[in-house]
Amino acid sequence: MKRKAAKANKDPESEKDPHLRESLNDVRFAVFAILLRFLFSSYLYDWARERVELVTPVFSYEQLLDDLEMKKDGLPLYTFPHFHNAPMMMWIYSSVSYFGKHSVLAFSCLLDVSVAWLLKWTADAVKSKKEGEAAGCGRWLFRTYLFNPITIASCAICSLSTLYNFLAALSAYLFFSGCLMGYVVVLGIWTSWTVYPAILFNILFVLDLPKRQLGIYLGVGLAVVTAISSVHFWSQGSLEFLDSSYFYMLTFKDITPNVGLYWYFFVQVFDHFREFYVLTFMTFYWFVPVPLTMSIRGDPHLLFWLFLLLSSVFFPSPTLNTATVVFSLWPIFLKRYGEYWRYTLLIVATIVTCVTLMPVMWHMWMVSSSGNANFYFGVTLTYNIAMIYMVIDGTFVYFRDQTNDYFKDWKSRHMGFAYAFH
Amino acid sequence: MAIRLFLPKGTTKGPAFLDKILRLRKTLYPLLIMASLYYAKIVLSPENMELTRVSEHALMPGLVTSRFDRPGLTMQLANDLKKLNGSKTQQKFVCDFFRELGVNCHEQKWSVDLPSEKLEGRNAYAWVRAPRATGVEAMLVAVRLGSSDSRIAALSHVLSFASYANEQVYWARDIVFVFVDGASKMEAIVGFDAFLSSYHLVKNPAVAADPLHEDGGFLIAATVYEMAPKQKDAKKCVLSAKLNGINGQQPNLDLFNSAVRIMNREHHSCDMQIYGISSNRGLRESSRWLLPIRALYTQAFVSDEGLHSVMGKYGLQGLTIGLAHSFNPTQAAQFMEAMARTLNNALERLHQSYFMYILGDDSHFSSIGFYIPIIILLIVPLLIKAYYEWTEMGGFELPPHVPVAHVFGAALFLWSRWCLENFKSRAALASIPNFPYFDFVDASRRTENVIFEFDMSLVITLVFIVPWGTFMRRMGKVSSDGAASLRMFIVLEAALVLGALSLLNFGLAFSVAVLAVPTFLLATKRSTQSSENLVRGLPLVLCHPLFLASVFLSVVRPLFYKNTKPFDVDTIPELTSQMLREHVLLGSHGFALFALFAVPLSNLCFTVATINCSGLVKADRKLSEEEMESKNVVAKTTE
Repeated sequence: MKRKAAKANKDPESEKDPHLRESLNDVRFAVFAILLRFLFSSYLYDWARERVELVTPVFSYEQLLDDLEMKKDGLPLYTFPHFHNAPMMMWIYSSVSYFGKHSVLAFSCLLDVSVAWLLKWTADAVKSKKEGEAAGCGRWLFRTYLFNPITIASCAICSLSTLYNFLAALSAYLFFSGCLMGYVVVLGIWTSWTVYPAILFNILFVLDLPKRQLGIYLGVGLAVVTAISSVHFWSQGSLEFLDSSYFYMLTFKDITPNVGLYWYFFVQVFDHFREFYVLTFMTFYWFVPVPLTMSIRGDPHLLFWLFLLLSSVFFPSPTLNTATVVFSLWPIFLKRYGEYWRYTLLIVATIVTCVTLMPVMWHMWMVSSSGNANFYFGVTLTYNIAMIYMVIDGTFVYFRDQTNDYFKDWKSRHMGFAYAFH
Repeated sequence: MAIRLFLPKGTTKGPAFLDKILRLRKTLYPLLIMASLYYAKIVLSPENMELTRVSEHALMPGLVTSRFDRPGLTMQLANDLKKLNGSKTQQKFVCDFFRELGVNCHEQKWSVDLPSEKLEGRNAYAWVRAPRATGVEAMLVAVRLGSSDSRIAALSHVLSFASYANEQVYWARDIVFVFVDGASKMEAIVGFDAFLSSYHLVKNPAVAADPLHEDGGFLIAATVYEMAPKQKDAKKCVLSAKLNGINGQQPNLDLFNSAVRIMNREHHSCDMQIYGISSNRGLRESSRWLLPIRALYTQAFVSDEGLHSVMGKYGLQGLTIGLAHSFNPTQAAQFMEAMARTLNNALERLHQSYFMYILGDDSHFSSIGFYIPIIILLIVPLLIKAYYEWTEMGGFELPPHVPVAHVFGAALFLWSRWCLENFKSRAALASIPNFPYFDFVDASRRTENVIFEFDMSLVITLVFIVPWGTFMRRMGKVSSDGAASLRMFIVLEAALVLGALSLLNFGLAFSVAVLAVPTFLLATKRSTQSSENLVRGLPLVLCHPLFLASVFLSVVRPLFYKNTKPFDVDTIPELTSQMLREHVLLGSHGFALFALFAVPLSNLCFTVATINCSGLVKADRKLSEEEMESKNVVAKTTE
């Protein structure tokens, strides 16, 4: 009793204000999450940095360090085949790493915690369709992102994917909260680093914006991309960076094993078919958003999430961390569309199983020799299929919801199915 | 379909056959477990197993005619080694011998400098280079140094074979001869691991080893030679083979098959002993299942079978062959020659045959395709249980107990490692000068301030055994959905871990699953009766992984291994200590699996059992009161 009383006296402000109490709780969780990341980095850095599920040439911090050293020696970076980052990444990380490895880790932790908060604010910005009730899953998003083992491991090894996640979360927050100008600027920056998020510009077309305003937003986005590319050009003095950082991704040159779809395919395919398949995959990726944009006009938030998902699945050298922001945003739509989701258990169980089996298959392939590349690719393929099922199910729930609205009167009049509606 | 789309839950409702399975689940649980055991009985019976065959035809085992003809040299070497008597080390003797042959020989120092483990040794190694090859590939022959008769015999056989091999011109790949130092078996394994880690440029944090002066290319395979156990009948020809590596890894079956083929061609009357049992069923009086059971047991629990145990870590295919005591020097060296020439023929890395198998005897094996249904049948009840919980819950909630239990398990894991790296077997609580501060110090650093001493392995064991899960229920109220989610999470995680483990170490997965699956089903049974849950929670104390493993090793092991130490209280800390030691020194995954998965799951079982006792019942009661109130309000409004 005494202890309870002391506790009550100790923090009267927080007792009065539930929001303050929740914020304090969030801070505690964030501190604990940072501690976990530092501990992970201290004990498991060497193990985690070699995991292909967490590191690819595009997101490798170790690779970036090598490149920074080469840059210090005055070597032309973009003439080397292994360098794939836009010059702006070099500036950011060369500034951050000035104070050593721990400063980069601190920077990654800061980004990761910011992502968690941005996701929480994103969820809070969404209003449930049911009588304006708040979606209320912000706390859930915040904690799941902070304590997701994948984000912990990626942050602990200072993976560059943390920075990309920050941009994804920031663009999600700006879009969900209606700050479109900020959204297109962030999207422009993000697109100028990896081309794939450009499909997210499509969402502007479903927002019922006046034509002039739409033109302004698209123009600003394009201007940001052009400005950053120009800065890259002026800083490098040549267009060599285009091939290493952009065409490298668009032509699937990276065939080192990763959790993506393409590496195994391009290892197997005959060289004379390569160009055909590159063109096919590129066409597919850039045109799939068109029918989706035309169909899902009633829910831009869902469309944003689906595009984010698509850009994670079809990114040529992804890591598991590439999809964590998408997974974290999922509960918003699980809540919004309720029981229309058909494959939730199947998808979650498949993804968790695949993530667990990836190191096992890698061990069987590389260490014990009891497996081969097919084993590892089989698991990554299943993982990607599960994510594609998320896209399918996400599209389905929208149409199911539309069907409900459209046939509501007809069904209750002719079929007596009024009880079917929630 | 169209109508179903509009119904409540729409297409989210599962297929009808799943509903039937859910209705029959209580019957299916024991039925599936029994089906698994019955299937294991069938599939592990040697009569039902496949016949072994050499899949890589290029090996041509037993087809070459061995030509070794220097028995005198072997005998002379054995005599010289016996006469050493400390005048010079065996390493120096070995290197002098190789230098006389014109072959470079080097020594490699290695040491382990942990407070609880002080080991050191000096390996010797020499390269017989292939005159017509580029040196991109090599094979390895290893033998332990030592002064016992059997060690000297094995050593002299290998040295005389090396002398013969050095003069042959047909080698397609280099041969590295490694002479491993180490008084005990564990010490020798660590020493050999030191050589392999230096060879592969891998850093082993626990072992400091000199870099190699000379190295070669990719090691295609390795054979370790020793003398087979002595037989009562001295004329009886018995060879032995040891296969199991650390973390359940086994060499490619072609390697073992080649050894058996060579033995059968040259020495018809000989018998191959596997896991200490004669593989000739005509000669064997024991049960036909004894050999597969020992195969599973060894794979699951024996990390230090021999020098070959650590080869798997480096992707090296290797086994230990015990040469028959009845072999004369020519026969022994000709066996080695035949093995070396077989491996010399390999076209590429050994991959044609199986890596995952259970041997029934030297000519029968069960491959993964046949035995994996055993574990699948054991896991299915867990999956049914998970699906049942999913269908019963209103909405998924991730209870905080799950991450907390795992973070706690990870913290215990790191703490245990830290203890091994910083303390000897005994530690002490001491007060340091600035009272009232205390510090844990190594007991060997005796000061007058020591308050009390304790055994580190006992403390680690006690920390692991405490059912922390019972305290975790106080972390907050859990709704009935939260409890259902927790139950689902426990069984799903268990199924996933067992499934993944079965691909790496089937023996361990099977041994654990047989005990764990009924435990998980019992612990996650739905009930709102406090008394029932309390009764159910009690056996959970006895089902702690450490306790189960100790009882298994003490009670079940004697059924297929004689001379097993009977169970006493010390067995449990000894087991913890051994797991931790093997983890730090050899890189065994056993302790990591135990701390990161087994202990958290066990704690979560306690949590879910005790939540039912208190939290859930109270929560449900509160919920039902609220429901009653809301009903009253509705009734009043209607009136």
